[in-house]
Order: sequence, then C-alpha cells, then structure tokens
Amino acid sequence: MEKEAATPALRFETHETWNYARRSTLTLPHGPCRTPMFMPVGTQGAMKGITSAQMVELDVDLMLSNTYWMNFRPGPDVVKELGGLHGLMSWPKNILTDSGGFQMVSLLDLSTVTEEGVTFKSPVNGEMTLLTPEESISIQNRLGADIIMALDDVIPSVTTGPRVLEAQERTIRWLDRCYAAHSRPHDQNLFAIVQGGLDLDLRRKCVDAFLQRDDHIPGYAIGGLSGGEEKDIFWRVVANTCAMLPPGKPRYVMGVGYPVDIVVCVAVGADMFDCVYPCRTARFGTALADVPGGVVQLRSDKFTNDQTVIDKNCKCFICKGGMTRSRLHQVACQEGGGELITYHNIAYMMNLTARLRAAITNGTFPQFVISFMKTIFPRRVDVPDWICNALAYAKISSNLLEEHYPANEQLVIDDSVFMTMVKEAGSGHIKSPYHVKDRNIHGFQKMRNVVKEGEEEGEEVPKEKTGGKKAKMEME
Amino acid sequence: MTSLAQMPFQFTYSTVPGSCIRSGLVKTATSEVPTPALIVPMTKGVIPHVTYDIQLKLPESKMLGLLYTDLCDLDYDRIMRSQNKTAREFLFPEIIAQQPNSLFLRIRDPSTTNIVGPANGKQTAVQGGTGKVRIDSTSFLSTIFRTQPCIASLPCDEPIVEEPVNDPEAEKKALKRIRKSVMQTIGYGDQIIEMIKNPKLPELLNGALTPSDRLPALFSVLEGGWSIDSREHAVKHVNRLCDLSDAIKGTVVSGLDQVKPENISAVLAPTKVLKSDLVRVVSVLGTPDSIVTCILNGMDLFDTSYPIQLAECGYGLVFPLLTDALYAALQVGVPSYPIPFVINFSLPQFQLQNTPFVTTAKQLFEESAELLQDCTCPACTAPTGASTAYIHHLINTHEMNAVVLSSIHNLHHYQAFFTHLRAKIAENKPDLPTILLAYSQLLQKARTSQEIVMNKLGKEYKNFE
Ligand SMILES: [Zn+2]
Ligand SMILES: [Zn+2]
Repeated sequence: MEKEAATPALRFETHETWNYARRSTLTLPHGPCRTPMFMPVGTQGAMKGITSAQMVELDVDLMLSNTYWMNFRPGPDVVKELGGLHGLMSWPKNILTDSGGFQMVSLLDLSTVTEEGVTFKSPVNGEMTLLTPEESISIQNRLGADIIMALDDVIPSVTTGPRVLEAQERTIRWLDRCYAAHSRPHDQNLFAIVQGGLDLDLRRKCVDAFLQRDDHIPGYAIGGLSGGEEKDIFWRVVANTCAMLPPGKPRYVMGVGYPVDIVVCVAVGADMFDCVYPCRTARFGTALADVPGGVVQLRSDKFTNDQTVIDKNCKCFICKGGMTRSRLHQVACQEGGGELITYHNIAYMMNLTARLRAAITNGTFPQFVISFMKTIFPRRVDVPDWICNALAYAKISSNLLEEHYPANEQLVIDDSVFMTMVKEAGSGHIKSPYHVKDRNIHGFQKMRNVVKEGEEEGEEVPKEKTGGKKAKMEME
Repeated sequence: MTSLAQMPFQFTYSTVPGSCIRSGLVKTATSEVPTPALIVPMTKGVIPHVTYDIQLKLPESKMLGLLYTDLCDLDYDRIMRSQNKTAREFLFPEIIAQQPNSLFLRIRDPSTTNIVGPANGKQTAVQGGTGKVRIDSTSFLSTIFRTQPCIASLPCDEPIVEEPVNDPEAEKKALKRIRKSVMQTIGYGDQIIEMIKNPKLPELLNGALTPSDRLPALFSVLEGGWSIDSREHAVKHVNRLCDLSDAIKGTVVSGLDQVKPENISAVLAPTKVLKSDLVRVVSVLGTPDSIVTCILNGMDLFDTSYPIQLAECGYGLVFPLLTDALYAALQVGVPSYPIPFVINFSLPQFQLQNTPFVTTAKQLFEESAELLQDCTCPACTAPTGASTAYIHHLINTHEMNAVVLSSIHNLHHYQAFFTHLRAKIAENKPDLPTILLAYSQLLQKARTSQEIVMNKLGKEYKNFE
C-alpha cells in the first residue's frame, strides 16, 4: 500500500520493480515525471545551447536550476515577479532547485560554516553573505521550483574524522529549520538530503532521524557523493542508503551522471539523477554512445573519415538522420555547431533512462543491464571490480565475469586497442583502455566550475588520493 | 570530354512595369526559391546558433550560404569525395537533406572580412578556420566538382576601401585599388571560363573531376566599391563573361557595404544594363532599408548575416513588416511617429518585461503598435516562447541561449520580411515603387533612431597594396 503523500504537491506511484530497481511515476505540480529519470542541469535558467522547446521535444520531465546563481542574478524577487523560474524560462514542465549549499563546498576557503548558516564571499560582488536554512528556503520559495532542497552542511565526500559527524548532525538540525521556514508546502516539495559521508553508520543515523519526520518529507536525496570517492564505496553507500529509505518516496542521488553509474544506481534502487557531465563533455567534442568505453571522442583524428553515426540506436535527428562521425569531427574540431553534440548527449541520457524503465516494465532488467555492461566493457579485462560487486548485490549476476564473459577470452580483439593497454606498475594487472574513471569526480568538476564562472573546464582531472576510510559494509 | 554537363538551373522572373523591381523563381536541382529572398548564412554547415531541428521550423531556408573555406579546411572536400557524398549529403542530417534547399557556395563570408590577400592575377587568399587558404582556378574548380553545390560564386578580390572625404590624393589611390579589384576579379572569371572550356580539364584537375560530376551554376562577382565608373566597367566585363560561357547564371554584386546608404541607388544604376536573365545577388549588405533599396534597383537574392549579427550583439528585430496595414499607412506617407527597429535586450528596463519581444515593442511604441505583428517563430511561440526579460537575464548571465533564441527570432523575422515583400510585389499595385521607397525610408528612420552598437562588426581596414 502506498502511504499518504507527505505533501499535496507530490504523488509517487511505483508500477513495477525488479529486485531493488523500480519504475515509478512521480507526479509534481508541472506534470508527471517518469522514473528512473535523468534531470539535465540548466545552471542559470538555461541549458547551454538547447532551448526550452527542444528540452520538451527531448522528453525531459524535469530540469535543474542552481539557486546559488539565480540568487545573484536576477535575484529571487525578480524571478518571483516574473512568475517564478517557470515564468522566467517559459518552461512548462518541472524544475528542481538545489539549496545553494553545494556550491559552497567549492568556496570553502572563502566560507565558514556555523550553526547559524554558511557565510561566504559572493563571487558576483565580493560581499560576505550569510546563507541560513531559512534564507535558502525563502529564496527557493520565491524561485518556485516543484522540488526544492534542504540546506545541508556539505563536506567533500572524501572528508574523514569528526567533521563528518558534525556535518551529519547539523544537517538534521538544519532540516527542521528548513521545514519550519517552508511557506509553500502545497505546491513545492522540500526534499531532505541524507548525509554522513562514506560512513554507513552515520548514514543510518541520518536516515533514522529523517524517518521520525517522514510525514512531512515528500522525497529523499542522497548527498555528499560524486566528490572523489572510490566507486566501490560510492555504489555501496547508494545501495545501503536506498535500502534504509521508505519505499513509497522518491530517491534522488545527487550529482551522478555517468551512464554506467546511473545504470548501477537504478539497479540498487535509486530513481533520480542529475549531472552537468553530458552537456559539459559535449563541449569538448565527446559524445555519449553505446560503444566500448561509453564515449566517442569526436575530436580524435581517427574519426576524420568515419562514416558511421555516433550511436546507431539513438533516435535524435543527428544519429537517425545519418550525420556521420566524420562530419561531427569537423564540427567538434572547430568553432560553431557544438550544440549538436550537446543535443545528442541529452537525447542519449533520456534514451538510456527510457530503456531502463522499459526493461523494468518488461521484466528484462537484468538482461538489459548485462548487455549494456558488455557493450561498455566488451572484454573481461575491461570490467571494473566495482561493477561486478554492484551487480552481485543487485542480484543481476552473482559473478558477472564467470557468467557472462568467456573464461579464456582472447585479449587481442583489436590491435590498436591492445597497443594502448598498459600494465599497471607492480600489479601485473592489465588496465583496460575502456576503464571508466575509478573515482567519482564530476562533483568536484562542478564545484571548480562554479569558482571559475564562465571559464571552460578541461576534461576530468583526477583528484589525488585521499586516505578515506573504507565504508563499513552492511551487506545483508 | 566534349562539353561539361551542367547542373539544372533555371531563373524565371518578371519586372514590375515602370520600375526595376523584379519577382522571380530560381530553380535548382534541389529547391525552388522565389525571389527576392534571403540566402541564409551558415558557419561550418550550420546556421549559426540554430540547430537543424529548429532550421526545419524555418521552412523559408531554401537557399543556404556555404563558405568556401568550410569545405577546404582540413581537406573536407576531399573527404566528401572519398565518401562519395556531395556537400549537401555530407553536411546535413536527413531532416535537412530531405528539405528543398540549395547550397550557395561563396568565397566571401558575409559576417566578416575574410578576404585577406595579397591577391595577384592568378590567385586570391582568404582566412579559413585553420589558416589562410589560397584559391586559384584549379583549386576552386576541384572543390566545386568534388562537393557539387548548386551555385558557386567565383573567386574575387575584395578589399575594404573606404570613400575618402575631401582628399583628392587619397581618393585617387582608393580608386586605383578599386579598379584593380575589378580587373583581378574579372581575371579570375576569365581563367575559370577558359579552364572549363579546355578539353583537357580532367587532366588539369588531376582527378578531381569524375564523369558524373556536373558544373554548378557559376555566379561572377561584380566589384567596384563605391565608384560608379568602376561598377560600369565591371558590368561590361560580367556581360562579356556571359557571352563567353552559358555557365554563368548570375552575378554577385559585392562590396556594397562600403557604399554610403544614400548612394546605393546611384552605385547600382550601372547594373541596369546587366544581362537581365542573370540572377542578381547582393552580398554582405544587409540592413532591411538597404535591402528594399536594392529590390527597387532590381536585385534578387541577399547574402547577409545581418540578423544573426544583431542577435550576437544582443538585439531582437521587431521592425514592421510590409503588411496590408503598413501598406495602407505608407500610402499616406512615412508616419511621423516613432517606429521600433530592434529591442535592445541588455537594457536594465527589461529586467521585469515578461512579454514576447513584439509585445514589448508595442508597449514601448504605442503609436505604431498596430503596424507590428506578433511573432510566430519557434523562439517566441508559447508554451516555451521566450520573453524579453528572459533574454535580458540570459545576456546578463552570459548564457549562450540569449544568442540562440534571438538568432532564431531574427532569422525568422527576416524571412517574414521577405515573404511580405514578395506578396506585395506579387499584388503589383500601381503605387508599389512609391510604397517600397517609403518603406525603405521608414526602415532607415527606424534603424537610425535607435542606437545600435555592433560590437562584433568592427570594420577592419586592410591595405592590400
Ligand atoms: Zn544521437
Ligand atoms: Zn520570434
């Protein structure tokens, strides 16, 4: 039985499940959202190069906007007068705003956290500004998004020690202040963010505290990830936190956007995802595709004369319309036309979540996940351990390598690929060229991007290792 | 090879009696373009800031301007040939390739001064995305055979030579440079005509020409800057080129951007003796008032990126189109009340202006409100239609969607401007020339009454000598 909705502004119905994975409809004031759902990020009220009309055509149900930036320009009162973010952007579907706190992690040098709130230096006018939970909610009430987020005490996910506990406890106290300040529960859903770093005990304490308040919490987010933690810890935190959360409420994993990560998170029970990755990477000529490694780096000279499309299964007008990689290489290498790759990447993400939903509905979820992983990681050597571990937990395959990859796999499938493989020093382990990053790092990308506003970022820069303690595993 | 097969090309037109105004139809292998019309500019085969799905919603985009250097950079003309694709097949996704549109290939980029020289009798040089590209008859013909655009405008020498004021010495020097550009441009034309008539053309082009290739319609370039004498001279030579070869189907009247607006008619006067069945293209010059002036002087196509450039500088076009209401108003004379030309989105007053662009203009210019038409472009149409306040916000936050949305709107506005002009020319009322003259005056008055800062349009004076 579904529980009574926490606010009249939200309805969450789960239609089918496959173990932890679930397909649901999240109905918000601006229409239904089909979950699992990817939510593109329009930082300052716009997707780079893609219009609101195109976003509707791309089947986007919900778009993100950053409170932090909208608070500076044009300011919440101006936005309110223009009919909220929906009115400003002429966006007929749903919007989610963050609390504005996440961006502050990037400004830690400039900011101080006290019980009252976060004080930071405005990057726009240089003035010191205090953001309290009350102020964050007041701003978000004026921006008028369908989902708003509680201000939490954000720390980088690799932080250890007493600061993690402090942040988690403060997040709970701030949550109460956020709900007390919330003036529009009838048409805005205030989500709580589970904190606790990589420590599952702390996550559990946080969730327990939230569950006492479950009656007025319409949905839950899992925060503090995608900040440089090891993937094998990342998925366990997501999986365990999802398992702790009530089944009748949506679960949003913040800042997750790599296609592989989304597939894993869906398999362990998450519903909503947001990330700037698909758009940012497009601006560097990287297209997402169902290919080994998951990406086509169109700036590479090897595509100069490649007459295939980016992704033959993609329904976007670029792929379906037969625009070749050769042609897109020309676009990617020069100024102008970058919007085309952004468009494809969003189409890819929307298509990926649509396929996940269809697979859950059809009962073919495990088959889909395995075939997806085999596409991205075509050989045994390519499959990262954390994928195997996560799929075992999700009961998709108790041993992915043994069950789905030939035992005596011929390593040399493609000469050029073999040539690029390197032996990792000392380990005798062959590192696959298709390995996606071992760590979640786009969270930091996002933050650094905020610091250097308007400046283009280079591709992912690995974050140096930090001695984060291993999460205590709470496998059932 | 006896004679070179030509691509299908047909131009039919009629002239409004008692005037030079023409209305016509350009038929190519892939589209039919009623004239007068806008040639929609592209960069790297994409309309700047307008993705193909949106281009599809601008069905008037039937003639698309393709930059020569976009084909040569990184050897893409050879890549297209190796893939056995024409430029149209290579550049466009199906949704655009299936649409009726034609490629108009030209050397000159209407959005910038890309002809960099030094030019000599054999070759000219232009700035491409990856460096300077030298163009001679061989490379030019090789590229057009490999890529098969419907129309190819011939190479030209086009210096920026401003008209000196009260300085006879400088004027003499400037005139000398203009005359040289006319002769060099004609010289390129002569060389190309000679080459296509040469039975050894396939060998000369060293394999670039295959038996199935056809010769695009060639448009010769008519230079002459602001000098009426030079224009007369150039016209004679363009006519002579036509006599030499039936491959010449049109002419591009270039360099008009260097002519003072009030002198455009005088500078265009020599074109009255151009062979009348040539399609007449005006290149670069793009303000609506000058376009109407050019139409009054018998021009057919307009190769300009003015609407996109305005968008890039933060302006949205709202000037009145030649509707029945405006036609009736102009019959009385040019209205004395203020007429809007653009919305300057950057103005602080628009922060709370949550209305479509044209509605904003109607509110600001109450007296002319009934002359303005609500916009039906993909950027303005509800439910996702952009407001003035939204573009203001996007400009303030340096979001590229400001330019994306205003480019869509401006391009649509320009296409609607041509649609309305064609409709009124087709009606062919006896007072049409008078009304067009008054319309041009109204547009000029509207344009000059608002301060328009074209930040990206800084004119560079380049001395070729
Ligand atoms: Zn695609
Ligand atoms: Zn419009």
